[in-house]
Amino acid sequence: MLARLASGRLHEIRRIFSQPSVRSFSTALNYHIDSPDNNPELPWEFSDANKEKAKEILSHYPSNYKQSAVIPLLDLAQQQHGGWLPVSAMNAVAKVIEVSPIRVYEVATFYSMFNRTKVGKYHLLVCSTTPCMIRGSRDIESALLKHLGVKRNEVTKDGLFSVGEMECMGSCVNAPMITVADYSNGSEGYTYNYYEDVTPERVVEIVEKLRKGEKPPHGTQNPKRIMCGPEGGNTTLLGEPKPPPCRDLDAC
Amino acid sequence: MEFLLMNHPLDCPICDQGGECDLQDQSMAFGSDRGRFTEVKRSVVDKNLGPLVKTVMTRCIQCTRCVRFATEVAGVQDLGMLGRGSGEEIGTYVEKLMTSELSGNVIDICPVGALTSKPFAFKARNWELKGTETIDVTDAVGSNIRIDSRGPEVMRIVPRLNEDINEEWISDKTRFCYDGLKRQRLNDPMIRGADGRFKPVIWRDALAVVAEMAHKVKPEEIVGVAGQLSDAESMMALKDLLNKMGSNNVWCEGNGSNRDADLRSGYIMNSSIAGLEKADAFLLVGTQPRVEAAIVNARIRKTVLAKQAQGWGPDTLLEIAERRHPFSSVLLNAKNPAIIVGAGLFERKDKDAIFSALETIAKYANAVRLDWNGFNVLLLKAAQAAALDLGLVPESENSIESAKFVYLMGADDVNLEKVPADALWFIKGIMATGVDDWKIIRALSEVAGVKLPYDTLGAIRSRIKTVAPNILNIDEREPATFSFSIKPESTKKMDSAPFGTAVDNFYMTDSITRASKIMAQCSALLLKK
Amino acid sequence: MASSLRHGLTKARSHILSRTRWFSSQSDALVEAKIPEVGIISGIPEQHLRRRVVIYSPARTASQQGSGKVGKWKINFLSTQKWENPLMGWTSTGDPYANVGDAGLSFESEEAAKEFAEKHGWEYTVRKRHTPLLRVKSYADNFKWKGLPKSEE
Repeated sequence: MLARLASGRLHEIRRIFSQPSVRSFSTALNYHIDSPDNNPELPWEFSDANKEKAKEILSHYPSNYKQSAVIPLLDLAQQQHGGWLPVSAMNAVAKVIEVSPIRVYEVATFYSMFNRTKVGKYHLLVCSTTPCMIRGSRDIESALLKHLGVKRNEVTKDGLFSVGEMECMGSCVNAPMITVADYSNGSEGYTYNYYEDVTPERVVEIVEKLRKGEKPPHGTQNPKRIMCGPEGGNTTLLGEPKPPPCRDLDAC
Repeated sequence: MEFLLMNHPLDCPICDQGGECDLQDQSMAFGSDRGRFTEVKRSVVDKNLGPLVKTVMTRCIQCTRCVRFATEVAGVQDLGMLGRGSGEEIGTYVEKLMTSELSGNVIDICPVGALTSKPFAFKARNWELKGTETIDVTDAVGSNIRIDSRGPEVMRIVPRLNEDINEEWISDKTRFCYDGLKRQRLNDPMIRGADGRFKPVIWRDALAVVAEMAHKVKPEEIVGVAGQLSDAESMMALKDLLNKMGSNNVWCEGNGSNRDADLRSGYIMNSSIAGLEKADAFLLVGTQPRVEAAIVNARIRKTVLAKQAQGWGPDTLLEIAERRHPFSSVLLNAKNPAIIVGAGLFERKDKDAIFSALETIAKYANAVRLDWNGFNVLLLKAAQAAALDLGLVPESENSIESAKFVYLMGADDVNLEKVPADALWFIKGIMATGVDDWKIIRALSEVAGVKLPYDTLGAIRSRIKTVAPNILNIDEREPATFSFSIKPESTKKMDSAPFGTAVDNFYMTDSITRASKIMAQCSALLLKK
Repeated sequence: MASSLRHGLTKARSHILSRTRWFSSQSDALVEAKIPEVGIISGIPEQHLRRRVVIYSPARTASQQGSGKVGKWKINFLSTQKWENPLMGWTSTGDPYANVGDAGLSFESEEAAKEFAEKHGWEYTVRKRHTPLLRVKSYADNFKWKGLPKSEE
């Protein structure tokens, strides 16, 4: 009896773990493996325009707390390098803020929005937190993966797209949603747009538009909604709210 | 406990930390006898931290003590906490070896078996070991250590707390040199025969030959050199033996022709190692504490707020002495300036001039006062201080050039090029046959007809008491009574040759460490860099 | 071993105590002669009566274990006569006291250890006990105001 219970439980556990979508938050391992396009020997430097930007970022912090600028500088470096951070970029950031490189690696590995492996020019991030998941984010992800013919965190052959996963981005009222991080124009043309109320068909359309170089309008993709308002217009709170009774505010 | 053990493997039986593991103790005391965790445990890739530290990162419980140690004590920011959540791990991100002289201490710091000793891996269980509390001799710091042995074999060396000296750290050389004890040992006395080969002989014959040789030469042609690992008792016996034979040319290697053993303040760490923490400015002359005394370096690092300057050559030193260097004002403004002089300078010819320049600096910086003595000499070898305390100073500076009979008591690093070719040798390897050096000397004295008046350890110690009573005060620091201020000023000129390095290879400085395989691996890595 | 030694000790005490007490009750100024009384009575061979021993308090283990067992005092017999037995490779010793001190004798205080050594007629040296220097530290200090920012170059 007990043995059967135990084996049943074991079976259940196996089933959970054999599911195809084991979640991986980050795009890379927590340690670096040298590769031709990612090794400490490669030179990396901020571009001249970004050097100015970095200076501006550093000016936000006291000069003896330069290390506070690590996150904005990593973000800048990531935009400049097409959406991901090679180890030499992290070393360059460490040099700017005058800390040892490991302190930068710690930060970069902690935050899943810092990609440490190559991503596409358009990095598509599917929200998978509960509200979006209930509204079908898994279908959206599988539609994207199927359309692009890649696995999660894999880059398409033309280097244009990659699909990642993200935790709640705060658009639960317009769930499900995806984010498109656009690295096609470096840090100058960098955009980070939300596409909300998407459907499996709509995301494929968005991808195709992006492929053609168009900029599909971001925000809700449901034509019947205005921003996060309800579908088909408001049903309540139609007029001006009445002032509270029994109080004459002007008399105060 | 349950959360800690959730991702901790149940491999205590094959873990080297087993038996001295904090997590094991805690779970014995507070843990449940069964776990409710039915999911799959995580696994973490092991890191390569070099030939000294073995990593089994799956056992890591993310306490980050090793990260803190590396950053705060060792001063090498190599280790970090990578990733987050259940994927969090300790590592270096890029493959990197720990380049610290203190890296072995992360083995002690780790409360679980994630970081263990590579040379000690699977060699012994800690409850089989018998600890002997003693003092390290691989450098002149005298770190407090415990030598763990199983039967007659030394298995490992671990530090012992002493806040005045090494706190709770030891250098990698101290910790891992022990395998050098087991190799290249001299077990029998040997005599070089007519064919140039060494032939093992019995002690009686060996001593007879040596005594005969010693009588063949003139007394002033006899020279004795004590090795850097010699004990005070043997050095006392060596000096007494040579004195009885009519020679006073005896010294300890590393001390060079230094003949100022009169003022103790001239060769000891006057402000004490712990006292360095009170200093607010350091002037390091001809010394690299990092390789000469890694533990002292950790202390200096501890007072990081203090400003440091390293004199690169005698010119800089002269500039500081004449107050032409910007660092002079730093020294002047410092409350407790510390001057640390490397013992490598003892070997220089212009030693007196250097020391008089340093005295000038010490005087104007007010480094030597009643309440603070900031003039320090950082010795290199364990035996140096005791040798000077016992008065092992050569009578003449050039004695080795006219030597006919040289008694090398474990001295391997003496420059013997100047010894005349027709000299008769008596080279005695260190740690000969498990027989104490002083016993050999005592036996030799009897054969040579100049019998020394002691034949027990107690007797030789009472002899030491008449020469240098401070040596017998074990575990206590004996401050110097007089400072150098009463010394006459030297008028010699300084040589402009740079100071050079006293220790080229941190991992190999004496006969034990040179025989050690682990130290050889470490220095091979050091050379590769 | 310790228990048998202690057992022997209490026996010996009952034999002798009456006499020494009688001495000391006569006058406080009278100094007791330090006879290794226990050793003589229990028939310990002559050569072991005058042993040189070290009284010490074992240091805390270097690993991160708790400090519950720290602070005990031990007697070490400075025994070096040991060799690897060619028969089994085990360690043999020619010294009956070789394993007594560290394994069997444990004292709560330095004084107790000294007294024990005196009673057995052992010549002892005492090694100082090293205790950690506790510095008051606070986690909040990491985030303390560290002064005004340094002026731009």
